Amino acid sequence: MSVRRRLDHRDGAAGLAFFVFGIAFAVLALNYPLGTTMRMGPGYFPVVLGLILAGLGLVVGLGAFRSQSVADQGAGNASLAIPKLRPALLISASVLVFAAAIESVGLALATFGVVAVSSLANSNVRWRSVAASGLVLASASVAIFAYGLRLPFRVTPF
Amino acid sequence: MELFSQLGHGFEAALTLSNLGYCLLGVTLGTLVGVLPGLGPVATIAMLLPATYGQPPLSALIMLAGIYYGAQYGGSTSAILVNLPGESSSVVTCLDGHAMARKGRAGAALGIAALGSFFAGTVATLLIAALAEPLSNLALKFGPAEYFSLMVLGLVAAVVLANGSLTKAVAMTVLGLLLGLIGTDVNSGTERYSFGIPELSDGFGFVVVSMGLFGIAEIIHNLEKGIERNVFATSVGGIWPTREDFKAAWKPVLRGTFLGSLLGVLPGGGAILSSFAAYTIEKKLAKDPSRFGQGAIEGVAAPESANNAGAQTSFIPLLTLGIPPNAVMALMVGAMMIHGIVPGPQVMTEKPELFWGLIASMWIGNLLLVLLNMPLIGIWIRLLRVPYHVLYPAILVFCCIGIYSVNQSTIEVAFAVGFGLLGWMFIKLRCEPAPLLLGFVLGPLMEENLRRALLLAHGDPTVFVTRGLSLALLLIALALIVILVLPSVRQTREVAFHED
Repeated sequence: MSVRRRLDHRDGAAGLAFFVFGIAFAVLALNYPLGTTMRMGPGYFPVVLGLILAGLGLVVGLGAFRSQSVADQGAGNASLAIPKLRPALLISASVLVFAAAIESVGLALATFGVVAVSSLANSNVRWRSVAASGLVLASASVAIFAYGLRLPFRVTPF
Repeated sequence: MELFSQLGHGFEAALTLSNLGYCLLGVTLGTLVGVLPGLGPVATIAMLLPATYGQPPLSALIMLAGIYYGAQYGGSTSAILVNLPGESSSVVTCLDGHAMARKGRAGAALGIAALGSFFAGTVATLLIAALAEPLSNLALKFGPAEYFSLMVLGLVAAVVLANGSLTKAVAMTVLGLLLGLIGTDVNSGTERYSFGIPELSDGFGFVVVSMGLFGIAEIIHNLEKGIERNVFATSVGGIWPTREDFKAAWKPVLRGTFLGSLLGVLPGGGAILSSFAAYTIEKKLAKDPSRFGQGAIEGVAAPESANNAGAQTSFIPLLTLGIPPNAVMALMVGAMMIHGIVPGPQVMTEKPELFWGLIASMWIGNLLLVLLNMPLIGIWIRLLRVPYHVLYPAILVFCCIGIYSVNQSTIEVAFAVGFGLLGWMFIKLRCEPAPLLLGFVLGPLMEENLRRALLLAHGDPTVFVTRGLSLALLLIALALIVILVLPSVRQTREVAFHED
């Protein structure tokens, strides 16, 4: 088994993320009273945890420079591919459409919006099937959640 | 026998027409979730939590529990027929289950999986019933120090049993603990990390975090890599296993049940690890290990029994100690809280009908699952053919409705998008989200008990090691860590978790 020495990008990025999160939590927690070990203030526990997280971030990040472990060699390429942004953007957008629409135009249209926008994330969109599943889902969610479970939803814009 | 009279009362509570209906609904939904890839039990239960507001508490819990163990059954169906685990605990079932399907023995594989699971479910139900009382009595002796140590043990176990890198799992747990601290501090009333956003004064909702991390993130990830499914169901064959199959499988079923029951009780354990461990053991014990991966029935029987047993016994720490051992149980805490039940040892004495009714419903649910899975397999096969591009918008719709209906809050829907993107990033960086969710639930509890324990001990931190029970819990946690860093265990673990 040849030992490859090269940077594991995933671990490097993960370590960096943990480090940043940890420092951010710890620094923000300094705004709250720390207290003593006996009488901990609201800042004590988060500062300690934040520092621990930052430390773990360093360990993960530095580990990225070591030779790869058995599992990672089996898993193949350790470098990060450039993420495809289309699904991430469109899925996020569709959920936000729901948030924007539910109170203004109601459940039926909000459901339709989620289906339409999220379907764009799929590489070969067939509009007839999108319209069909939008109709089915909109009527199903109105029937189940608004009428069946009596959740207090606005159903239509009117 | 007091145990049986209590179980009897449980059956009385669970066997009402409406509770039977909820049980059937739960296990059917569970099977559905297990069969369809891209939607795990965590996301489903989170999605349906708000829908249980109006139900009586027992019915709600029966339904949600049914989803969890039902998913173990459904997961095996897609693992065997499509070579895709619908549910993460069915990953190893793919190896031999799908090989059997390729040899035209899909029916036998499905049959033995269902029967093995039923047996395991029966044993696990009895085990929960038997262990509940002694463990609850023990838990009543717990003070804040013991609770803190228990949670440390729980988190350590969650990390040890997590998939992939250990340091990353620890970091995810700590990040979860920190995220859990967002909101008003119970001791001082100070708002932490809320940035003046009123919706954050209570912290992030559990449903928001879990739907983002497990629902939305998963969809983005699946779409990015593209899901392909080839249903292999030309000839399913007879569902009933042959005499030789039974002969080969009964011992693995017993061993799997035993192992699963044991690992399920451990905090952090549950279905996933149980199935891996059971498979590894069968391969070690086999006279001819080379048959494994080629369609050995033992390789289906053992892990399927183990994951079902583990799924069920993981209710034990929740019901007796009030500590959720895994992400699904953490959601069950949420479900119980919604109905004004504080999980813990007092549930058994204060709400015996609820407690024993839930346990009895698990056995009933397992029976229903055999009925659903053996004769109705054709329906599930047809469902497997639903293409993902039809499926994922539906999942998204239900996620959105689920999040919104918790507090009728649109900003929480937006928060879930943030957690979805965070979760997607973690998937890409190979960091598992389950320890984060567990930390998120335990964070506030841990801080509260730590602070209370130190206050009671006048700031003396040795309180955690001078009290016997607390020391014992910490020593078990330490032992887990030591075992894990042993080189031989480490290597096996890496190989075992390498399958996905």
